[in-house]
Amino acid sequence: MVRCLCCAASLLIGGGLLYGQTPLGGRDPLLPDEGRVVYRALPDVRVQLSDGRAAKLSQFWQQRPLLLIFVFARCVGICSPLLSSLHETTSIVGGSGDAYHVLVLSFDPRDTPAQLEQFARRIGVPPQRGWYFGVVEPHHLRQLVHATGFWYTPIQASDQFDHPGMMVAIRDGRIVRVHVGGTVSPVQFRAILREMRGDMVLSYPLPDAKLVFRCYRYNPRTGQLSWDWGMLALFGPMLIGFPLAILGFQMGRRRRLRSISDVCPTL
Amino acid sequence: MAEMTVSGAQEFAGGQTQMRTLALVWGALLMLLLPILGLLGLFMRAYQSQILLEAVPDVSWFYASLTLHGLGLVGLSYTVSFVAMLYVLSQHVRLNPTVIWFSTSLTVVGVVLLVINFLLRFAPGWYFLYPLPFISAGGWPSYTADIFLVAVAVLGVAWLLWELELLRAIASRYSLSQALGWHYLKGSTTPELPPVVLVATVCAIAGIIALLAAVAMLIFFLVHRFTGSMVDPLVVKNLTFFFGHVLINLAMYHAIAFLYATFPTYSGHAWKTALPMVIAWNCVLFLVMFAYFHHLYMDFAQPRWVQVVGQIASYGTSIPAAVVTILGMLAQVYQRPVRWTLASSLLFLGTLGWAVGGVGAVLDSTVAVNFRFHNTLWVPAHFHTYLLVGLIFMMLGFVAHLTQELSGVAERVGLARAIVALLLIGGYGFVMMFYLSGAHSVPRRYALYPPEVEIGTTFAIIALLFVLLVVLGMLLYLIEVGRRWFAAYAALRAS
Amino acid sequence: MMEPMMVFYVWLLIGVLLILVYASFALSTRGAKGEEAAYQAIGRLRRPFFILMLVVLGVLFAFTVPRMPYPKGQVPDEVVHVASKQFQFALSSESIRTEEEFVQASANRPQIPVGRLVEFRVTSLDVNHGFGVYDPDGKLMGQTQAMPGYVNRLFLRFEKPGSYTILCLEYCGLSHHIMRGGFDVVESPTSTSRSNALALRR
Repeated sequence: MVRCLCCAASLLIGGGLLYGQTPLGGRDPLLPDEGRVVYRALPDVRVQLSDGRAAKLSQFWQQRPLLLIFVFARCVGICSPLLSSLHETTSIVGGSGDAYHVLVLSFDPRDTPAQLEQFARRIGVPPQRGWYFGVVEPHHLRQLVHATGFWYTPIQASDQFDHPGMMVAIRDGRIVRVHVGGTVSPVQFRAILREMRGDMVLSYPLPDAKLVFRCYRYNPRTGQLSWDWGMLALFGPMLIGFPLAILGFQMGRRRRLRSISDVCPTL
Repeated sequence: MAEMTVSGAQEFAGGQTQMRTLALVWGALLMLLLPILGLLGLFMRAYQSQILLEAVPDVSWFYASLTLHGLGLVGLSYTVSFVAMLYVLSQHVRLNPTVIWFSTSLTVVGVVLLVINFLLRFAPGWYFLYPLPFISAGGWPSYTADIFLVAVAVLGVAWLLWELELLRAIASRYSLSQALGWHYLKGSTTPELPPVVLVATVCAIAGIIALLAAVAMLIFFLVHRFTGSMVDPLVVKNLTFFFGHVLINLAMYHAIAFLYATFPTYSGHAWKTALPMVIAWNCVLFLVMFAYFHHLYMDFAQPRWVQVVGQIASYGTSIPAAVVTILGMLAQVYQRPVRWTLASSLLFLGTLGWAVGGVGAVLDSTVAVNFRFHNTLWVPAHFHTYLLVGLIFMMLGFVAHLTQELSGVAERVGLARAIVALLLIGGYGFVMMFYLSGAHSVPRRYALYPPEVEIGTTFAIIALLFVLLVVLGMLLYLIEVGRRWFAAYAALRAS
Repeated sequence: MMEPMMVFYVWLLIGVLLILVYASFALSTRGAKGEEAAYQAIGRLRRPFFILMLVVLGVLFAFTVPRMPYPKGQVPDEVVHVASKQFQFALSSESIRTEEEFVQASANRPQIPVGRLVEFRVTSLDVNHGFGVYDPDGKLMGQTQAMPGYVNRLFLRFEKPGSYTILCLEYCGLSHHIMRGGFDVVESPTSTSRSNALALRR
């Protein structure tokens, strides 16, 4: 449990990988790497849902893009902040049930779909349109875990699991984004949504690159993005230069008026 | 607008003498530095032809030459053209020569530092794209990056000062709306605005903004230098290209200001401000701020709307150039008894170079085309057209005009024709090889060409032959204009 | 995307036209009287010339903007991760973020099945580089910048089998001209859809 908490805490503090302590090129081997799994086709496994139905994953992604999250019902670590954060973000961004589905799957073989849903309610994530809770057969779970790069290790002492916080964005049966971390902000989610819709996201900053003076600064605690000095530096020259020119001409006006009065002292 | 008092006029006349001296000094600097920097260019093309491999096995000399050649010629273009503009502007506004002399001195200091760096083989290229000056893989000593930052700071101070002085001088005589000709938009031509004042105002405002961007860029370099933190390279790239793009465009605009004021003395027809010119230059002030995005088309990290704005602004800046300046130039000569001299020929042909280079630029500023042309030799093709057979022609015309005006020495017509012919044929042949290389996907800034693009070596050899014509033309120019310069200097001292 | 030589011929045509115009105008000064009517005649060309430029540039804009090399989100058949470092490119089916991974990947020479849409995810581990893909005939197919701290995604489809070269298209230091990478485009697919099965030849 301690290890899971430490893992969760480090992920939270690290802002979900975004501004890790390693400089350019560093990598935490514990954290799944989107690069390894992107565009991988997911196995079309059967899911037992909390409303009693059974459905194949393709039934979800054929309707609309799918966001897949791995948690477990007795989690005291990263599962609850991740789910809460996702709930809050999707409330802000909207589109749940229309633009995408969210499928919360348990990787604990002891969990039932109902237990999973109860866990969600307990942490303040009520049932809502577009959200589904379910479990899969163990051998299907192995396939899914392998395909997505997710991992989990049981911790006997605490009856918990050590695992990363992770969401997998799926479009047409293929992984298009993997978000790793304890939270997801609206701006991050909108980028994921664009990928899920198929809008071109041409590039994105390396999450573990430590750069200063970016255009945007991410606060991992609030999940808010604010303008950084970099953005100011880009607009600054024009914002300063034009008023400076106007000021220069205003000061010149006084000189011009003084010159006129030199010539025409009666003015 | 204020009328000048008698004492003001005397002071003004004294200021004119100072301006002439300044112009003459800068003319000398052009005649000294242009051949040296040009020879570095010759060295580079020779290296790329593979004829210097045994003589100069160390490739760092190529890249150090590339760095100094680029920085030096961009700086020289900007500064000489600025002084040319001031030379004609001084007939309309009172400039403080002390500030211009001070900036001149600082510029010389900056140039000396850059030359020292060249000898130390500092070679981050003339874009000095962050973080390359600091991360050279052992290519150059780390302290050369510090020298470079000092040089940039010195040059930045020098040029910001004289841009502010330019603004002050114009503002002492004109209001902002007068200086930008806004009264022409309302149909009024009073007060009559000389074209050089309109262009100089646009250049002063844009120049100050560009130099502020350079300040921000320098600060980021210093943050990296003193804290070791890596600044967002895309932010610095934006600032670098904004500064560089605006600066080199300003160099062209300065030259055009000189053209507007001077060519009428050869054509006998005034070149006055009119509504199209006012609209054009006000548009240029706006568009030049956004055209720089065309340098970042291949930075897919830039938002897509920014790329489209870049293409619109780049296309847009070609319209005022073509419709006002090029057409205006043609109107100046059409069926007029133009006094064709070395100066007027070079000024006239300089606008042709601007037009031809502009076509190459508009094509490359198309995103879909840039995908295959970016950072190939097409890029130096278009800007060598703008600069060598465009701006440099005009600056050579400026010095030829200046020295003739001040010395009264008769022109040797045959020699003048030979100079123009050599520079024209040599210059266009030289740039043609760049265009052909770019169309064959030969990358730019390669000391040597790999087998996949070995045709680059062939084009470099042919280019070298044309460069030799340019060298000969320049030599004859130095002989002809050099003697005029000395005569002008003597005449000025005597007066 | 427009063929480079076509673009060259367009430039050449307009350039020659400009030279001819300038030459004829210069010749018109011989024995000229300098009448104001001639000046005004050129002035009257301003409006039609302006409209002509607007039309030409507008058409060029409308034709080329849809052809910008930023494709809209189709799922590629293969993903190749690229890292650039002074002075080499490394290609892999997995992302390359560390020195060790770079050294391992730099020995790779991927084999990409012909006709597949490939997404290159390009980054740099040190300074700006330029990722330029050259086909077997030495023609630049496309490019993107390789920047530290960013991953740029370039989509290309390879219709011609053969050996493709990657050359650096952003000056990056004294060995910029010898910095290269490469991959092969092969006739028969060696795998089904996923890039994890991208064949990597060492």
